[in-house]
Amino acid sequence: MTSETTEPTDNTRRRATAESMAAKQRDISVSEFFTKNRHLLGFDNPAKALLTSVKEAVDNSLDACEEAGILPSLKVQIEEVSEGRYRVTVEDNGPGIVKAQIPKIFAKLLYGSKFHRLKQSRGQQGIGISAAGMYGQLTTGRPIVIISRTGKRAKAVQMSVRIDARTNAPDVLEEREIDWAPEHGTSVAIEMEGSYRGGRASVASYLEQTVVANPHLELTFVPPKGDSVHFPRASDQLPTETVEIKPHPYGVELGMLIKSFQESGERSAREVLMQDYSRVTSPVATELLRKSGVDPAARASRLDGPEIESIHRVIQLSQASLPPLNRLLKTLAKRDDKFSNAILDVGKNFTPALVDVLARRAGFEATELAKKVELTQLERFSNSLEKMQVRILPPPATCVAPIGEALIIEGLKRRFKGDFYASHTRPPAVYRGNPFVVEVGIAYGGELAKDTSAEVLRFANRVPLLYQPRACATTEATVRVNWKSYAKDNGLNQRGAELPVGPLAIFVHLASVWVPFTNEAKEAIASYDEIIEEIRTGLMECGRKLASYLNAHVADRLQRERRSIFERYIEELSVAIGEITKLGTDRVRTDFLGAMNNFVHLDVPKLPPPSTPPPADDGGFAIGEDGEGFVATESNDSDETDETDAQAAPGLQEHVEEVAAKKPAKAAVTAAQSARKSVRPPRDSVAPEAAPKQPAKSAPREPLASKGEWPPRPVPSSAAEVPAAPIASPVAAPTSAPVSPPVGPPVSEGPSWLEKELAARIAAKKQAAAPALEVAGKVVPSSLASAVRASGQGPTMAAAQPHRGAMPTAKRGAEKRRDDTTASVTKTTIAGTKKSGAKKSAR
Amino acid sequence: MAKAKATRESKTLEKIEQLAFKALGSVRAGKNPAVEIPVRSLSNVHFNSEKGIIELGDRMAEREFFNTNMAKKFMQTFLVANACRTLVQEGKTISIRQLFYKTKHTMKGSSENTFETQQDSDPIIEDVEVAMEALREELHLFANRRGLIVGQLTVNDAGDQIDLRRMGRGGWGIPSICEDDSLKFVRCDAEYILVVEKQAIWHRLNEDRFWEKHKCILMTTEGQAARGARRMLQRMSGELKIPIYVLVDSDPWGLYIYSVLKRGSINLAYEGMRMAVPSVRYLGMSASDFQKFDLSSAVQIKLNKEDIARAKQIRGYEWFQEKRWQNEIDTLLANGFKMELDGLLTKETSFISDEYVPKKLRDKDWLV
Repeated sequence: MTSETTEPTDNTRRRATAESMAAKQRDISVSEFFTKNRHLLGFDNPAKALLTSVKEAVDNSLDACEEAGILPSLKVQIEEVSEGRYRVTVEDNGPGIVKAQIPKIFAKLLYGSKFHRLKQSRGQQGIGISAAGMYGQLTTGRPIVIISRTGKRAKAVQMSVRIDARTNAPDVLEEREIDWAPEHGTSVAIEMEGSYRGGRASVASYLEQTVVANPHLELTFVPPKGDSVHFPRASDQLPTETVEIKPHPYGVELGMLIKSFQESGERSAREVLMQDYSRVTSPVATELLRKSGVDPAARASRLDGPEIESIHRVIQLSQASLPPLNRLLKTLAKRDDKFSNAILDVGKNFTPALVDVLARRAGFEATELAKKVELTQLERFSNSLEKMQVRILPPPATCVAPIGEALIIEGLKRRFKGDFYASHTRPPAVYRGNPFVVEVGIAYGGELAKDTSAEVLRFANRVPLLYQPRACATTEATVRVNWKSYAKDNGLNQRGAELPVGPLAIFVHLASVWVPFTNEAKEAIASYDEIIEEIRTGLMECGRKLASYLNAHVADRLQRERRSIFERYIEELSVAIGEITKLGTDRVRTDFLGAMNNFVHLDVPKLPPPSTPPPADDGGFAIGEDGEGFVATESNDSDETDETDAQAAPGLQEHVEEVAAKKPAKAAVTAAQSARKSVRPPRDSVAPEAAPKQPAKSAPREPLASKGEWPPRPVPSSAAEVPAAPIASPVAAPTSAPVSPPVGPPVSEGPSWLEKELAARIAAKKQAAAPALEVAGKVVPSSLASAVRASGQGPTMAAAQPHRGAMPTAKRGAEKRRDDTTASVTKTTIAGTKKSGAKKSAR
Repeated sequence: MAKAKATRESKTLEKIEQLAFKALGSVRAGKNPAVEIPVRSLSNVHFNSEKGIIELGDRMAEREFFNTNMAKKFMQTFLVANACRTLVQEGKTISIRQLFYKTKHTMKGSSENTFETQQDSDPIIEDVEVAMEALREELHLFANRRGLIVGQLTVNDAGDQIDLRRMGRGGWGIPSICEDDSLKFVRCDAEYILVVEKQAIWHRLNEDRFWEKHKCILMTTEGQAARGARRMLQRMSGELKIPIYVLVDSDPWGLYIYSVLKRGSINLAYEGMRMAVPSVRYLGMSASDFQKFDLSSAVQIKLNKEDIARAKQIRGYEWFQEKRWQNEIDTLLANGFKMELDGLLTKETSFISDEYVPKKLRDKDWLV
């Protein structure tokens, strides 16, 4: 504006001459640039500066340790030196740094080993730590203090360095050998203006997340106030060592291509492509060069600009793709702008120049209106694209080291107390020639807050990203997943393209040789379609795992609810039925609880069945409470699922034994003991009732008299029909058991037994001429008694009463029928009855 | 008589025991224990036209325990059965409300009650009655008594001689259990029995000394008839051998009160044999009485949706299929209004005693 008004007038004084300007023109050192543009590197404000410094130092330490194959142990300490001034110290157990390198690494910007190679590492540019040092120097004037020791035999070196901002050269202020306890490692201390805060983007949060993404890291954090935090190592496994790869043609920029041809010595163009780039085989190189109109045998260094440009174009075209023509035509017809714009929108990996070239080959101008392009023209456009393309394999994924599904879950567990965890590692993919691997994980339920947006933990090459979540590809991919569909009724809400609200935490890790950050401060990942798609697919996979967990969980909860309902009512029933039948509460309860297992199916494998039966004095089971959560990485193939299907209704006692068998011996003993305690009937409830109403002296008093045993069982009316044994006595089978016929149909159907039983009772009543209202359940009338005697108490009896515990397992089957009569084995009762159909027919 | 009762009761005990053993047998076999309960709904009753009463069909509902929908009722069934067992053994009789309290308690480890309200326990009692094929009295239970009686009858109740002509304005409350072991008819001078639905109308007739003038027994069911009233009516019918006339409102609800008295109720169809009185006659109000007695339009109450639906439902009952009944209900529906007995007071306070009932009886204007 000013120039317009001043220039035309004559009396305008020239402000500067070319010479005077030249005098002022000079190099801008990187350091100076940084001083003015420190926000670009993440030092915009005191709080962020503190965090960035910690982050850069930790990144370096971890990279160094991993490269040296050392399991990293880090100590991060932040001290408040004075108001608003902090000292950050990061100490590692890495390989240490050779003395000569220390100044350059810590006090020279853009110095490093990682920039020039294609290998996954946390640091990339070689700016980080020296920028932190520079920031400290700018705000406090204090140098960086480094202590490093490279091994047992070497002495530790302590060095104070600063950066000469004008020359970007290190300036060593002090250097001396000191005694330092660690055998090897490095410690960096930077003093700076800062502000220590909590919250999402705090040092503490950053470190917590670092721990999540680096299960092999042991970390101690000493904050300026409060207790220090220690994160023990969750895995002794170092990340797989990544392989450095050559650049892939897809990612190559023109300048780089020109440079590699110019510096190729005597080699041919074909040789250069084959030797300097990955995935370029001899046929690929030949085809590439032919299509570029370059002789494959030509000496590379002699190629001119347009020739190299044409090679570059072919490479670019090889990545480009178009949607199917009919769809393309429809899209174009709807557009009001230029053809080239339309192709850039619809096609993949196109540039205006590429569209231009192809359009011209197809015989029309790229500037033409999109809707005016005809099908034939489009066909030619597409054909010429195909003709120019060369198939090049994607780069190898060995240069990327994912964390792994299991370790992601370990990491998530270190941070969140959830009910469910899932993770998924995607197969390697490529963006712009750079291989990358996306890993995702979720934690759900448990102590995670139900009414807040899901926390998204973002990582690039294992480094947490704390700033600019909105600008990050990870967030974009996360909101594109329809979370509600995985946990609709279970508390995941999502409005439009927003983060889901509910007890969910999301983990996203991008591992790549070159992470496309949106800025130099490495705060967010750029939104490449390929990357977003990979993240989304991975998250959807986790979502599906969550859905199937929740479904199973709901089913499980339902079963538990049913179970607790039944248990509650069984308490009532066992009193009522126990009184009506005069069998007592405990026995009825045990019977009902035994049968319950046939009707309640707890499918979630890790929940153990209740290990103790309900004690007599305190009804109801405590159902095994939800343990530490359920993890799904791959298919969960526990075989301990449904016990009740395989066997016919295990009785309670057997159930206990089963559980016990799975536990260590000691537990088994206690479980069995407690079972015994609680299953044993109350002794005092038996005798007084039974005694007074004895109608005839001849009735066998024996069963009633055997103290401490079961209350008297119903007596069968005939020896041929033997009731299913009421219930197991966990103690040794009573030798003086009640009536027990030697052999006979082992198990009879419940009802038929009952009919007999009732008939017996009614008969007993009549015969004993007891008062009409009395139920003679505990009384064995004389007529029956004699029948019983005749059949039961013979010498066979004794033989049929082996001690169950001493019986070899194989024999048990054969002994079952006898056991039935002795009230000692539950199993037989039920198992036998189930088979009764078959037995009946055999009869 | 007492011996018969004892036999019945010991049978009841046996049945309760049987029920419990059967359930236990099932669980021991690893099966789902179930109580079979006859279905007490319209779908499982049929009209025995020979006996003239509603009888329960043989369809059974299985009440299973290991089924969350039925578990509680299953449990409740046994609580009630067990409570009845103790009552029988102790020889005590309590009301169904008292039984509700006797069986109600909070279950261990929860805030749930075995029964929340009497509405929960009453149907269970009926279930037990049906499943045991035992009458309520045999379970030593009684319902709240309802119904009043006055007139030319002397009874002996539990040893007390009661002259029903000397009951003043209040009348004698019909006991809830009217079995012959405690209630006996001593002397009857009545020529018929008049049963009115409403206590207020009964009161009107009693104040007018209707039973004295017309030599009858005057009874009110006070709404839907309770078991005591029904049993008493049946016994009077059988033992006194005099006709019974029923006076109810002209609406579907009145019709059903009559229907229950005559044919038995759907819900308690199993007791029909001991409750229903097939010989009762429907004296009024009839839908055609509006014209017959030249009543003013003030007595009309418009039929509402429920009335119409209920009327149509009743018209469909097997035992309302005779032409005269179909006509009666059709007239009701065609009129579009219902009438209350109290509406007769639009004529004169004692119109019902002085004109309506005598004329109806004179003209033999009743339905059967």
